[in-house]
Amino acid sequence: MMLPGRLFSPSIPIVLPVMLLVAVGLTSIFEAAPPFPKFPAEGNFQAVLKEGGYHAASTIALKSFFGKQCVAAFIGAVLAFVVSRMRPNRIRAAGYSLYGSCLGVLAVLFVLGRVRNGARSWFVLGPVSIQPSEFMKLFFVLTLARFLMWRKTPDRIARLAVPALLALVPFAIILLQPDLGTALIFPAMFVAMMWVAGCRKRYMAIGVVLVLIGTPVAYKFGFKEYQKKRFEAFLNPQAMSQDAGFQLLQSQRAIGSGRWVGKGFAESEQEGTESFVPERHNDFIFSVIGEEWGFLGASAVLSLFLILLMAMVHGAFRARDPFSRLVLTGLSAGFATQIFVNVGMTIGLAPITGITLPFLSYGGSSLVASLLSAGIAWNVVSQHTVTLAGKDFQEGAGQVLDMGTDPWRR
Amino acid sequence: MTKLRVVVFSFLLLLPFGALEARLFWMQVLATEEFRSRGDWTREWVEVVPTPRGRIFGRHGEVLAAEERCFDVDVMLADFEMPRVKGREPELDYMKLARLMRDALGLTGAGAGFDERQCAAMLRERAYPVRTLLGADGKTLVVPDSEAIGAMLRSGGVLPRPEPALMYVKLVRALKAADRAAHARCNVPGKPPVSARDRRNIIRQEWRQPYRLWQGLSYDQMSEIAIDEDAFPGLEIRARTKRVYPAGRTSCQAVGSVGLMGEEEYRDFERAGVFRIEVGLPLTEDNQAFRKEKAEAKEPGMRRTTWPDRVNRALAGKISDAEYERLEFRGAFYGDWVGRTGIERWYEDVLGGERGFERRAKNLLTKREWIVERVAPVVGKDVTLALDMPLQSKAEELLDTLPGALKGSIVLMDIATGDVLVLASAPGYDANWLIPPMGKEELDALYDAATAPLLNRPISGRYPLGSIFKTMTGAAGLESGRVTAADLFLCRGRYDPVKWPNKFACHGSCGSLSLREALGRSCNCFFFEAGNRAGIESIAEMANRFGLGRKSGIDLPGETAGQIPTPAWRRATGRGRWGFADTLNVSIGQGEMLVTPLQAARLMAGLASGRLPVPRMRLDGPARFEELNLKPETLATIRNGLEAVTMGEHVGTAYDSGLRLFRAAGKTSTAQSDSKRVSEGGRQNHGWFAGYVPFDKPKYAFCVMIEEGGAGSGIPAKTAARLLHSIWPEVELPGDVLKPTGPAANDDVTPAPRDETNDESDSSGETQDGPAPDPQRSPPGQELPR
Repeated sequence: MMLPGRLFSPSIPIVLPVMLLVAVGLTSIFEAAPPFPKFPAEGNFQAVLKEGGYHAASTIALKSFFGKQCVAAFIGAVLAFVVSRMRPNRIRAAGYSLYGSCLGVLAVLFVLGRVRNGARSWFVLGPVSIQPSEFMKLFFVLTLARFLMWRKTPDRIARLAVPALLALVPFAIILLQPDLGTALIFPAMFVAMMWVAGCRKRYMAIGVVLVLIGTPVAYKFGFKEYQKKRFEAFLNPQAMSQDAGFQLLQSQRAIGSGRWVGKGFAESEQEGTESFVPERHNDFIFSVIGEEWGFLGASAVLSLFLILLMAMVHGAFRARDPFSRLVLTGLSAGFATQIFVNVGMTIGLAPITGITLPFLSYGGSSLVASLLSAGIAWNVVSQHTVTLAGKDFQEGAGQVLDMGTDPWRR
Repeated sequence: MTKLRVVVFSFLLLLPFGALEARLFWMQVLATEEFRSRGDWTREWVEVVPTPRGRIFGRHGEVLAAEERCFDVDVMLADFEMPRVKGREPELDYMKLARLMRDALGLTGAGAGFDERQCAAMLRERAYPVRTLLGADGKTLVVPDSEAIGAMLRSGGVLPRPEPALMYVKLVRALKAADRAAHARCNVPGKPPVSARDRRNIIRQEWRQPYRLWQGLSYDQMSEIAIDEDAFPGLEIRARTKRVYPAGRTSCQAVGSVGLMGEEEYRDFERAGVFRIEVGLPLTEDNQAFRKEKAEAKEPGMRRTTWPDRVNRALAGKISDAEYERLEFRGAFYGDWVGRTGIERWYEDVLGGERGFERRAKNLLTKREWIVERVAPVVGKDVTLALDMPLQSKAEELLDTLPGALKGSIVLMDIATGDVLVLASAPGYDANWLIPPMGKEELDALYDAATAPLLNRPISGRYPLGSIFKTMTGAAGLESGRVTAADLFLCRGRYDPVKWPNKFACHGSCGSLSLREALGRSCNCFFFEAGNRAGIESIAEMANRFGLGRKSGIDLPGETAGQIPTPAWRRATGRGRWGFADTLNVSIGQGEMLVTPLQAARLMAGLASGRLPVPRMRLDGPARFEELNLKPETLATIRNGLEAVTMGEHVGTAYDSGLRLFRAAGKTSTAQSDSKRVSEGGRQNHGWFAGYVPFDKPKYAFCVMIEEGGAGSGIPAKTAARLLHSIWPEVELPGDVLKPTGPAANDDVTPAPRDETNDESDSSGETQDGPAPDPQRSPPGQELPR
């Protein structure tokens, strides 16, 4: 069923879910901001509380968390809107330079970066702190899409080398920060884009086998102690309930207590009594949603994500040029990975990794980068509508138009 | 082709979303309970909620035992420790201070558990004590008066104000207790030793536990501490109730007292299998029956100690094994007050109520505490006793005012119902002495072996019955037909069917007498002959029928059965053969016979009414009786003899005691309590008087028994008359009866002649005007002989 273009444009299922998700995220952060500025990862947190006045501090913190996120949302929205209005070739052209400069920034991070949650991935400039790795995901997608755009189908091993290098460098740098969660998104996006770009299935299979072999090896030699603990806690949270599994169990408890419709806004018992989920405004924001809005609310949020992703995939399906298709594929793969890993860890389907939930989690960089990605998706999707609205371009004009531009088309 | 790949890609995206949704549905809708209970940083624990015991009332509503609010003071060692204030402490000789405290509190010697070095170290390490020890000028040391502290500690361990030095001692004890507990937790037999880190954690946990410093403080004493709270950080004041006995000394043995169930006792019970909490199981009938059976095996005849049942009912099926163990470890199961003696013990299951429990939780982060689950305690039920308190206190006063600190007991029963109206035992004590804090002097008095005030003599004292048993001999003879009411027997002062030299003597030559006169005069020879004719078996059978040699079934613990010797019993217990002389001894109530005063009173009730009431302390349920199935003539003949004792002029041994004025019938008894005669330096005889009143329409049966009280016609009979006088005060008693008298000089095994009953006594009596008797109680008859 096709609606007329004026009433239904393909940008609506991208813009509307994003707006709603940001709104949900802001309300949740307003409510779920921690009662004290920082939850110490280890050691005696009683000592922190003893420092005194954490009630006062929590009020300030709440304001500052929410305020910061509002500012980030505003900046992100403006950027997204601007990006969505840009000419596509500008975006295409910006890819390489942004990628390069961001790589440089990531490298500088090893020297000037600030450590948070054990990862040296922040630049702190007064009240503003920026996490460049969040932006790197977007730039990587743009770069890879541009690289693959006019290249031949990567159907030989040699043709995989440069794309693989493009993914490997930021992956390695971010892994060394160390920020495993963010780093893992790069392979996901890489695989998805290579798949859509027409990579041979046997290479994909080889890649899967390599990952299967590599993971245990990496676990044995590469993982840090806390990562191993997190993984063990994921496998058996009850056994480590006072340690690494605590967050996991608390989150599951909070979500499990939501039932059908949840406890209602700001009725979460986390703050005072029954449960407390560390980092709940941040990586564990979904536990707040699950507890307060129940199964229906959590499903609604997931549905919004699904609508967004399907709109992007639909855009990729309909895209008339490989750049658009690849960008939408890469971005949707990135979002999907983030959503699955983040939500999965709050409900016990994935181990804990420091990965944010797009549009919802607290974090200015994450929100701005996500909005920027959405803006680009909006841009790409609306290209078709602007140029081809009202036409059955898939079978007719589209094919004619594609003739000279899409070398992969068979 | 690439479009197909995009479609495949979109399906790959859909799959994880399906997984997420499925998992969410499982967590939030299907298995929400499971996930709600997953691990957290809140701590949950179970607390047993105590409940006040029921009260005990007298017959007319007098309060005999009740609960009173009191306060305990605990210390949290972790909070008590305060940061040391550097540079402001003067140099103190801590060891000297510690030694001073040791001496002041009498904690010398190895077993006293006082470590001066530890105490000194504690003094040195804590800023608070130094601060409070300093005088106003900040330099001089204020050392409390050591004697005063010692005196206060001895007088019950309660100080009007926590003196610093005593505070230290208490703290040292608390520290030691915490150390012990931590040590025990670190070294569990059969388990590997814990790591150093765990050990530290355990010690830290123990320091967060409350340890008792003072207990049973009154409101005023508590407020002394509460006002000064800043000076004593870490102190926690907890309110509870404690047992008080407003009646004090009156009926102390009957009411009994409560005591704290200690750990050892708890373990004993546990080992005996009296209780075992079946965690997680509902309390089935089987479980209860099993426990009851075990309890029965431990304390035959006793109502089981149902305290564990009370806890069980609250906890069963609601707590986990681990929680049970933790509770047990913290001593929650044995820090409870249980009835120890008397009514408190017998009606433990009624009085004790049921304890509740609370499952509390605390967020370790925010320190907020809340109640997760609560089962409210059930307050114990009240028990109303049959005791008539004005009469009871009168009876105890009569016993207490006897000259020469005589010990004895008085029992007064309602024949129609078996109600025990008076159950007095002397010497007595104040029941409040047994409730901590206890004083040393009081405890010494309580555990004095010579007076044994804790003994409930009417039911636990066993004495030879003496002449009162002649009623049994007579009844046995009459019932078997070998003796008749008309039989005459010539008493020549001694009984020698075989040529034994003067062994079986009477107290004079009574001449020719019938059964009535023989009972009235308490002639030994008559009953030697009667016993000889009836035979030991029929005498013992008759005694057993009247409740001698077996428990009466009164609802009090510690009742003794006494014993009635028979040939079979002698053989069974390895005491040799039964001889002819033994039968003669038993015939007059001597020999190996032992009877309690309650049994004697019950025997009189049986003779008076023809059926044996089961004595009861609690006014509850229908009266119970045992049928005697005796010939009416037998009873009439014996009653005739008992009337002769009090009313037969020139015949009755108790004619002058004043009992005839109340139309009472009864029997005196002077029981030899030593193998040697009194004149040969033996122990003074036990004096008894047991009877019923009025003789024609028997209402009360009573027994007065005075240990080493001389002739039964003396103090016991007169005491009985005085007791009846307080029931019917309109009866005028002769002055010599109203005066308390000393033990009658009587050196015979038999009742004294009449002329010896009026013994001179130098103690001028201020007696007799006890509490006003109940106006409802009618005098025995209109035609009272004056």
